[in-house]
Amino acid sequence: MRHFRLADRDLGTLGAGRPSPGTLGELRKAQLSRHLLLLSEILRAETPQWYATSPSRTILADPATGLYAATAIATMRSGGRPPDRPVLVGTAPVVTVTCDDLTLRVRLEDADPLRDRLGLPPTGRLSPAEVAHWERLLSESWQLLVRRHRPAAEILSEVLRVIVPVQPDPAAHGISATSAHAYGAMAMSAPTDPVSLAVGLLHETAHSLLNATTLLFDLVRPSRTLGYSPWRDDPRPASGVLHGAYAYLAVARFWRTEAALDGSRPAQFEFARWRAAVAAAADSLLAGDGVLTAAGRRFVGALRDEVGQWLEEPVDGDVVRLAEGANLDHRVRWRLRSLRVSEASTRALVDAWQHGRPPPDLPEPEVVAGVRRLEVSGRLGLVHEWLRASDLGEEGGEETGEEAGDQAGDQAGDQAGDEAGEEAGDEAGAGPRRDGAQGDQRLPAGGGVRPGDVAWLGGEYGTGQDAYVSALENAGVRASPSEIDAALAGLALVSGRAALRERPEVVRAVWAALWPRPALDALLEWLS
Amino acid sequence: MDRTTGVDPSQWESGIVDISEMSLEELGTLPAGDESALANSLRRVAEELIDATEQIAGFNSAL
Repeated sequence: MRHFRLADRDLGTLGAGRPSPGTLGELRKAQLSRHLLLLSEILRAETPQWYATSPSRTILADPATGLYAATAIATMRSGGRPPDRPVLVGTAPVVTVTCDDLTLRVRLEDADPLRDRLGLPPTGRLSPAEVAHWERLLSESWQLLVRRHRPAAEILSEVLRVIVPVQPDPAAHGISATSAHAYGAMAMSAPTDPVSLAVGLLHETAHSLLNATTLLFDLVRPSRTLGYSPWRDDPRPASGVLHGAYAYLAVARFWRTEAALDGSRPAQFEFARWRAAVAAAADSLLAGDGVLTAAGRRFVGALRDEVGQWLEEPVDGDVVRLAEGANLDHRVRWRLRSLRVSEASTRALVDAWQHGRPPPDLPEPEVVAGVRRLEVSGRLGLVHEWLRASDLGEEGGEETGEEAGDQAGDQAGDQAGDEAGEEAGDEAGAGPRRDGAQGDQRLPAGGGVRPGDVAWLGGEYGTGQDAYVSALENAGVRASPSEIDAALAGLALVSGRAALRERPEVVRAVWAALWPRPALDALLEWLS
Repeated sequence: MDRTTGVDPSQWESGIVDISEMSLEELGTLPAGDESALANSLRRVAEELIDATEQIAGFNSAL
């Protein structure tokens, strides 16, 4: 009996997000083997009715069978009887789209009673109009992928078999998810445009590929340690960081190509942002002591090498500045939300400040496990608006705003709700409004944008620093913690003080404990 | 689940065996010699079920 094997080179190209057809074939065989193992275990206990139907190889390999088998085994473990399924694959609509001889055939699974096991609430049966909507968007997306991203489309056509339409999240433009139980299946809300659908398909397919890889090889050692993930607002285990890095490698690759083909600033921004985030996440995994297995080091090393080639590729300087700022903004807000400075550490800092001593060395702050939620960042929404408007300005206003929004695809938010919910929230919120924009026509009209944000956007760091410091020093007792955190993160974008970028939670703890409040910049200088 | 240290160090060998060409009937009648490889594979698949179940319990998780 043959054990599955991958040549070292094949594991490398898989880690780089470019699996060969042979590797994809092995992953598919491994999934079928997994289904057969689980089904045979069920059959050892009893003979469900479906077994009498002599299910075909195609049905045994279907993602729904994997989902069924996992559910049945879980039920048996808890003392129950495995559920029966008269028909393993139902009568859901199938969409087939072809472009340049490459075909994608997807079942829109709207009938399987187990489809909610993909993790999101499914829709009911699709109406003919809803099926037509999916068909139209899949066709447009497929043309985009085949004609501009052919290698990724070839992987997609080999992997994707099932989409489970799910209910939209009111806080996001689009959500999607993937389960390790169902290789080749994904849950997704109805798409709004072909670009975001294309990126969402690539993103979720990458999760499927990684799930299939981890069935064969342990990549990450088990650990309860939680840390920072550039795509999530809550602390994540190393396995989650790897999932995000791998999915966003595919996302970064998509935007790299888009940016090269048309040079749009929104595409450049997504490319610049995600290449840096993927590289940083891979670096953190590789630097962790005992985090990765040997196979994991090979896999993540290949991932890092792949994205490393992209880091020096030219991107508009202003766009790079904003992309780096968006990543810093996310990291600072994550630290403020997820890291807790102990009372003892705060007391020691306050005492040192009050007695004119240098700040003491502190233990690492405690990571507070968070609940998954969508966070609204008006600042990121403002960046998206500005980038789209910048492109429009250069093109002489030939496009309408609506068209520009479509082409930008609402960027990261829609593409991948599971790892980028915060971006989705940005886009789905009331949106940035101009207040203090002082005539910058690249910003939307209205009021509500912090003056510091506008200054940062325009590269006026001194003005931005004054605005954020003023907002913080004048914040009354009624200022909400989120307002304070947003202003502190904004200040981190424009301040040269390292403490705010590297340990904002410490800055906030000391700032909140001192009364009367000291001059903020003096405190930052002391902590830096 | 690690790099093979035997004959061919350029290969990564999985703990999972390839039974993709077998039928469910065949799996039920395997000789004893194969059972340990199968049992190891099943154990790994079962462990993966537990891990994945814990991870997917969160909102909109891909894991």
